[in-house]
Amino acid sequence: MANRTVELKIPCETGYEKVAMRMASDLAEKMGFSQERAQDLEIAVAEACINAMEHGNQFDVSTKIYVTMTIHEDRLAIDVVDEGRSGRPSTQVEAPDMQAQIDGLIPPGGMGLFVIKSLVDEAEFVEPDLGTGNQFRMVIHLQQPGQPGA
Amino acid sequence: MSSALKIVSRMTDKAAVIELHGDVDSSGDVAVKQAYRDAVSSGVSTVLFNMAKTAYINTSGISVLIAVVMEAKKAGHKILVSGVSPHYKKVFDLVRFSTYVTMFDTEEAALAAP
Repeated sequence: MANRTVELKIPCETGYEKVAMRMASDLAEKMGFSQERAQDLEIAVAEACINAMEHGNQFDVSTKIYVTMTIHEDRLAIDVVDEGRSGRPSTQVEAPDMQAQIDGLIPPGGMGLFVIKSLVDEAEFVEPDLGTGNQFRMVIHLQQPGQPGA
Repeated sequence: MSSALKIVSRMTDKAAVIELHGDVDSSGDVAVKQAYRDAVSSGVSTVLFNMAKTAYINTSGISVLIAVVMEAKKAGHKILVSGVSPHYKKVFDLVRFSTYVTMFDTEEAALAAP
């Protein structure tokens, strides 16, 4: 069966990530993922869109974020693409140092990528399909090795 | 396009309660901090953030709460949080924010706690 794709173009304005996150969770539930997994994906997609808005597009309201959701037989892949106004952020991520943030030693924030990687099966930057911008891909699998279904 | 954050503040015998209705993200930074400052200006030392009507929170919103906790810690105030959905509690636990506030399922439980 051919893969199905759903494409969305959202303004680079906070709040619009909610459209993408809800579409992603709806698709995940339609595919048979549990509500919990769909909600995990929802949060991850929201964070990825915000990262794209902030780091990729520098919150330039004249730009867009492109979200492509590809339904495979065994997985759902979500690609979030920005217009690449800044360099590609690193995908190296450590758990946020909450103690240091609470103590005021470092500014609060920088938790988005850690949260994404904790909630989905795969999360990484890939070569952009269109050759420009940063393309961040998240994948959740219906069946995970050693686990009884999603 | 955030569902505008609406803040409802009130006092109880035990704590100042700040209800966060709608979306909690970076756009609520000023309002949330001001609500906290207004609450403690009356002399209370315990502030409860009731998030039962919080529709959406992202890590930017959690950063706003972290900033409040940071301020509270310096001032010797206590921050309680109630009503966080299991969905978002998972994120609070992931980033370890739940380690630095006292969390309750409901406002009633928060106010009844010793």
